[in-house]
Amino acid sequence: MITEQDFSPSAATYDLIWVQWVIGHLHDIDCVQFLRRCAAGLKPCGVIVLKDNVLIDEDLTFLWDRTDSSVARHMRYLKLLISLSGLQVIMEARQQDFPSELLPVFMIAISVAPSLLTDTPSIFSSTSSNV
Amino acid sequence: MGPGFQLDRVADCGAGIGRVTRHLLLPRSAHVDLVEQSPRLLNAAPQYMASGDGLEFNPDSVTYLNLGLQVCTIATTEIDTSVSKSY
Repeated sequence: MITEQDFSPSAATYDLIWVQWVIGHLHDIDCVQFLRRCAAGLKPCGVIVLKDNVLIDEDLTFLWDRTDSSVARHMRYLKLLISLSGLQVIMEARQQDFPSELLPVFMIAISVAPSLLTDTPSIFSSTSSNV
Repeated sequence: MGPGFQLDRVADCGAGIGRVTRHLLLPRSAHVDLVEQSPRLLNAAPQYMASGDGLEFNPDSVTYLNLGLQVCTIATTEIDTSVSKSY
């Protein structure tokens, strides 16, 4: 078992990377770096699926949940981070049959945006690999 | 991603004890890497994965990776919630 490192997959390793209730615990820059590392680990035509709490109606940019130390970002906010990660949304679907008192949960399928791959701001680049 | 759709290798980030892997990902992929920062949850995963409810399970089809996802930064940061108002 590998410990005390961050997930940083080798290039072209995965067909699918499922990321459920993770990015709400990440600051923006950590989220972008995480998504960029995931993107590097995708095979050609590979897909990342984000499944998370997403704000859609509220007049809030994000909502901080002190009870589990997470944030729910607005969909527009989340898509900005996805774009900054060099990725593009290819499909999104809201989770059905969840209790109405819970925040909306979305599954967002994203893939590498070819036009953005070649122009990676150095601030978002990462180097190590451990898978 | 319906029945019969078969992938080669999948990563489950924030895998917990493996619910998503067991019920969604493993039926559709030859191999799943469970990535979880909590040793407590990850240590419970093998037993959960093998627990009987009719699903076949080959222990060689999963890898358990106790890796961080850069999680926890928000948990240790003071945020003034007033800034969460729309701007």
